[in-house]
Amino acid sequence: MDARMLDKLKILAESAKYDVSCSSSGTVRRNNGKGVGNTVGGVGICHSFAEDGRCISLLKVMLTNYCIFDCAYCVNRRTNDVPRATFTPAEVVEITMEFYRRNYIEGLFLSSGVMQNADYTMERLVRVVKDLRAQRFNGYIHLKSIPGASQQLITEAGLYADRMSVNIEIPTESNLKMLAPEKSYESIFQPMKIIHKGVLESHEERSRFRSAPRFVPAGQSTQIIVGATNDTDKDILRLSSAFYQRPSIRRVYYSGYVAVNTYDTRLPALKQPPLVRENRLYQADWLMRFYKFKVNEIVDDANPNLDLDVDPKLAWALRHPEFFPVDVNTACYEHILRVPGIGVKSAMQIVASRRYGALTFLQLKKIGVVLKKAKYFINCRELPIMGTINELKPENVRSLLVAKPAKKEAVGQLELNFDQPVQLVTPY
Amino acid sequence: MSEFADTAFVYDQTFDGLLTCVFDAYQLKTFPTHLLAANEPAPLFCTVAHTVTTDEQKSVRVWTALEKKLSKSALHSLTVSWLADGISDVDELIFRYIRKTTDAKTTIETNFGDPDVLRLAQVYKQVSYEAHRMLQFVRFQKTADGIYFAAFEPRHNVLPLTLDHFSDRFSDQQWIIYDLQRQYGYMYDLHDVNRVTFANNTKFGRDGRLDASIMDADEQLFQSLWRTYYKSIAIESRRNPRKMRQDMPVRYWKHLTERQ
Repeated sequence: MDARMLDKLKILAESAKYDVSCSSSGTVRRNNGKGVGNTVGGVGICHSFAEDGRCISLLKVMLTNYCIFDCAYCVNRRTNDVPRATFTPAEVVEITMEFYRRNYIEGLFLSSGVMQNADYTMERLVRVVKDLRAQRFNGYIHLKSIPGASQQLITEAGLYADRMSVNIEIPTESNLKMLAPEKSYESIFQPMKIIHKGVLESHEERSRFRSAPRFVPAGQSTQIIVGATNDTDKDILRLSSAFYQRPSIRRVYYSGYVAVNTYDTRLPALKQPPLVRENRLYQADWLMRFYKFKVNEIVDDANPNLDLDVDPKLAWALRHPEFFPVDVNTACYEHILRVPGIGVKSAMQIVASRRYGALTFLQLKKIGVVLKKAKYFINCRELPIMGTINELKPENVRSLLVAKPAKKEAVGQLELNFDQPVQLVTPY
Repeated sequence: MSEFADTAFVYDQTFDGLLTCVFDAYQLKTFPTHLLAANEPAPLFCTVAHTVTTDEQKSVRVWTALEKKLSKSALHSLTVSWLADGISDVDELIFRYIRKTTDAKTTIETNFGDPDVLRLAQVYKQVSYEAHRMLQFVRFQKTADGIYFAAFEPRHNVLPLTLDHFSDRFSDQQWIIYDLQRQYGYMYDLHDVNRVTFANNTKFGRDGRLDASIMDADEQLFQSLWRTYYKSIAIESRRNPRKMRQDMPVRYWKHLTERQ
């Protein structure tokens, strides 16, 4: 290990950074005095936060950024003139161990460009995770599966990795064909299916024998690039929703397209990644995963794209005034969860607390309900502060809640003219 | 004594002492509105009704009674909240919570409409979040004799809450985590975790950084590798320092290798 590693690490971290997956959750593995590391409580730990505000939980690197593919949206496409480097498996193992022992990271997220062919690359990835586990590393490992790798290699990798992922990247196959002619949905779905099957089989096996090996215990994830193609939010969310029907898929990540290959005319020339749209997609994703929303309630043919001014839950509420007002003291948990401004935690606290006595606005506010939003949609023990959504009409509520652009000048600020003597007026 | 006058108990500021306060209050049928330390002046119009002598038998009896009424997680939130620093009157809050629990027929722990129950839940959240921040932001430096050393200044006295995590995770390496503000730490020697204090130390500075003379040969290299990684992983066109500071407040930066 020497100073040349600095350059290598720089190149291979910069190549990996556009993959947004960061979580280190989903597995519980105690150390029990064997080797180094554990994964705690099923939730990951974020060890640092980069200048772009994203969390750093895992050491996210590529084994190599040489790639035989030429996908238009990827910074590592073979026709790009970027510095290239390759780690040896031993180097990745050493950096991971040393970082982990200093409490810098929660584990490793290893990905790779495709060298020679899929199996050759996959074999090297498997070698790294195998070596790490041989050194009794119990931390988290997220391994990228290479599209087109053989079933045998993926099955082997699954025994060592906590999570595996294959990125679908483009939400419709026709657009994928346009931007990445060498890829197809078939080559992406095939490893996903193998992992899915492995997870289900292992689950069944472990219900019979507790000592049966775990296979990808934290399930798999995938990523969709947002804004590189003309696909609507409806396409994206329908795809996510279909993924979430499968129990092995835990997360779909949305990555606002960063214009890395500006010369390619197949791609839009974006100045800024579509951050607001990305945020709205994550909110919609949360609605599907934790708020019991169906995808058709969030986007449909009449509204194929999410409203960028208001969050998707509020947008749904404004489209459905007949559902409100919800009485927080009598309504069921699922209905309270639908109120804009009430999250999962507040809803659970409301349901737990109201057995002791009806709740008032002040108590709701203290519990953590965002009354600014919720007040148009709820009834409690008191009279409403302002009219309900039915009285005010949805469009008026909307304009009340849409954030106004910040004014540059402070209105009502007194101007002091120092040339004139200030006259003090005493009130008595 | 009149119900309306403010009364105070004086106790020794230990958790056992606090539980003894509860015991004595029920025995004397006097419920203090304030709990004071021995040298603390009483607030205006407040009379010191009783000076509590901490008695382990009494505190154990109170705790056993609580165990019958409260769930494990509620008991845990009491002991965790006790570690809060700089939140005034946590002891009085815990006292009122115990009293309400004792007087109620059924458990009050889910009644977040009650200001004390809600406040205790909030204090618990604050303190345990600070403990979680330690799990996130402790950074070890390796010494020449193979011990991993980390300094930290948590806002609450949460170091004891993190020991199980670190001794499980790093069970095959010796480590020391030191609370610079409270001047004590814990050392793990591959078998046990023991409390340590360093009087007149010269091995690490006030900022918790190890002296170069006792650092492991590769320590500087791995620190610079980590800094390189930290810089490279950020996407320039998504720069968002405000979000970064929200999740990783500036007060932790002093001990973060990547922000030095």
